Amino acid sequence: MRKLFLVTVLLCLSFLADSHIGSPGVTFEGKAGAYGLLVLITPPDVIPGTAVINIYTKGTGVESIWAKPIYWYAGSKGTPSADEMKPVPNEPGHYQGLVWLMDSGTSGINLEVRGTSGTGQILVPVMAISTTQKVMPASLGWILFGLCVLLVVLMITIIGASVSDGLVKPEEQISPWVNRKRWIGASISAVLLLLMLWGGKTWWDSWAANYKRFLYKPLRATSSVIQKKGKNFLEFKIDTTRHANLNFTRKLSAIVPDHGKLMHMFLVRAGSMDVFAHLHPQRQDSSTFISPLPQLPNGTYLLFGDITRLSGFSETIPDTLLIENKIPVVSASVDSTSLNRDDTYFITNPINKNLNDPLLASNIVVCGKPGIKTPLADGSTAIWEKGITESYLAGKLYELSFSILDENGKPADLQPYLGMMGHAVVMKTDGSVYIHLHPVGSYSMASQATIQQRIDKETGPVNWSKLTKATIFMDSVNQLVASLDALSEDDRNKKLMGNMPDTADPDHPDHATVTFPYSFPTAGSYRIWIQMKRNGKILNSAFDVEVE
Amino acid sequence: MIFTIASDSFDRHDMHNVSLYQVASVLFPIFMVAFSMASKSKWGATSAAIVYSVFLLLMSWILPLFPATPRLGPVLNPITTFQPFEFPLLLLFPAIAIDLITHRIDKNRWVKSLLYGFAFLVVFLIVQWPFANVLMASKGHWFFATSRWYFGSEPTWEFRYAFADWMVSSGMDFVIGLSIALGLSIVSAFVGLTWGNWMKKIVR
Repeated sequence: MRKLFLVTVLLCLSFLADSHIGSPGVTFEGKAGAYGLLVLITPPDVIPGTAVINIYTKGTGVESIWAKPIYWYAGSKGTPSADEMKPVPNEPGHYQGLVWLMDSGTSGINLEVRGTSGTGQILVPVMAISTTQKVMPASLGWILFGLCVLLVVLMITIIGASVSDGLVKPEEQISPWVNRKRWIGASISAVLLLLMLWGGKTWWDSWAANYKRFLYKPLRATSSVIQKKGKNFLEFKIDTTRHANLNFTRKLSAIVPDHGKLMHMFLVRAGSMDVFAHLHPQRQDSSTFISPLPQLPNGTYLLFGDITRLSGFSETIPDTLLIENKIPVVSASVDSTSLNRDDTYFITNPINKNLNDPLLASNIVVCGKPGIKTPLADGSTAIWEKGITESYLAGKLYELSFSILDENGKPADLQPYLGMMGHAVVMKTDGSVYIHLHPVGSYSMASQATIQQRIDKETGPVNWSKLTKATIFMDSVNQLVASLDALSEDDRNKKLMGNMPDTADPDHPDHATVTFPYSFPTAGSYRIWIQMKRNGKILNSAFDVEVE
Repeated sequence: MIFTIASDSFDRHDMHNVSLYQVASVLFPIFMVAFSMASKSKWGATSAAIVYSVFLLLMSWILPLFPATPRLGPVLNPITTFQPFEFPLLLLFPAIAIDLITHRIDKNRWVKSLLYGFAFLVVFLIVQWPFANVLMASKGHWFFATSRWYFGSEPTWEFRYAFADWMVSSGMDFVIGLSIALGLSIVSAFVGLTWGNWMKKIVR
């Protein structure tokens, strides 16, 4: 059973892998000028295609909203004029519209809000990639096939008649020879027409094959546990096979830090989903990443490595890892592995009670459910704030709100973790959905920053010859990451949060609540891991939810 | 419609590549020979080629007079008017050759097909290949309709008005490619001849 589950998960990974796995929608929560917005962008799965944009405005004064695509490589000059997003009837504050993405690459949807408090702009990154090949609906296929048969039969009849009856004068009798000619003509034309149809099919297939070449293929990696000085390390080697397109856009040497880290890696134990770890592997060379491995319980783990490039292209590299420890498992608080201060792991109850691991029973944190208080390891309480009658629907945009209460039941004072008030990972329990969320949304903030920088500093297309050499670029990025790691917690947060748009939450000035905008892509059961920081320590909690 | 599909291979960057001559050899002799044979006018193929050339030229000269801007992104080439179509292929010359063969040669249809096919390819190649250099050198002059450039393509591309090595057929590729084109041209001429003969004989 467990094996079957794993195979299913791996199959899902190979088909659904995307910049986020199985969850293509991009959410954004923040401000465009003076206007608070909640945005859900559903990118096209085929390029060229249309991105569907839903905007929910908070507050008043909005008169109109305009959207246009900006491509990283084309720059602001390469942007067409904006299209107006239309108000949705009977839903005040809800605007909707389409934006065409004509080429693959890193793009951003620029939203311009016009209203009583002037004009405000915001850029939401969208990775424009073809992830699927559309199939013709069977009904349309049969209709076209019927029409094709009709046309072929008509053509054969016309040719048959034109080489026989057509050459006989009106008053003449039709001889058996003329009839014979009709059949010969019809047969030859049938063969020729079939040949033409076959030629057409070959032409069509060659285009389909060409499209497939440019279809987005996720990067692959091989991960393994290696021993160094008696300690376990996780080695993550990325396959550097060239893809048919986006070679610069997806270049590994062009990785830039997101929240001060080159890679955010999440590990979830496959099947039970009871073990969760958030690590930050360091770069050894352009394709090899390595991290101290905490003393995780044995099992097969799903690995997700999130990276962002200079081009703003962010994607998730999935893999699996088998951990076979001889050492007994310990809880994170007494783990002797020298984990980085930002790395963490924790253990919760399994999604299925039958998978309960007796070894872990004493260490676990029980997953919460929406609306119910859950005790956490440090004595505080976490709660997923939710109306009792509310049920979660697939495809609908929600603000998932999580609060922490201290030991006395008062709102806790949370601190930023990697420059954000919270990080969340959402996974569907069948493994088909994985996404890394922040209070600002589901996009990579490094991606947003790099596109914004391109627009602010340059106007035209990328000047390829002026880009820094890969080795020099990698070296300076390594130095930047090292200098950030060397800073004190406060200094680093100041630096990381300095250029981030509006991280303070005006609704919750007490810093006890963190909100993540998200839309569950499909119905099913999900587990959400929330990471915050309190008293200088990373505070983990997890929640289960059923989505209808 | 067939021309629209085939025009994909008729870009000026293809004019030094055998693929253009192969596609043209399939498409044009069949119609030219049929028109030359069956037309009531003495210059059937030539008239058809003139209509084609004038139509394309007018389209290419008139369309850019109207303003238009791209509404889809990314826009690497910020155009402000409708784009011209391509300058017509120089089909007029092989058409004249085909009409001359129709007038002067009275052999069986196998021999005539060979002549038509050969004449089409040779005349077309002799005029179109060097003319490609003229088109490139015109660098977007309105008369030659070479200003056309897709709004999503980089307008400063080094080969916008030049042939890159990989666009040009040479050596054995050229010889083999042209031999295939010749075969195609002869077959196409044969079909055109048969079609033209039939059109002359049709009585109801």
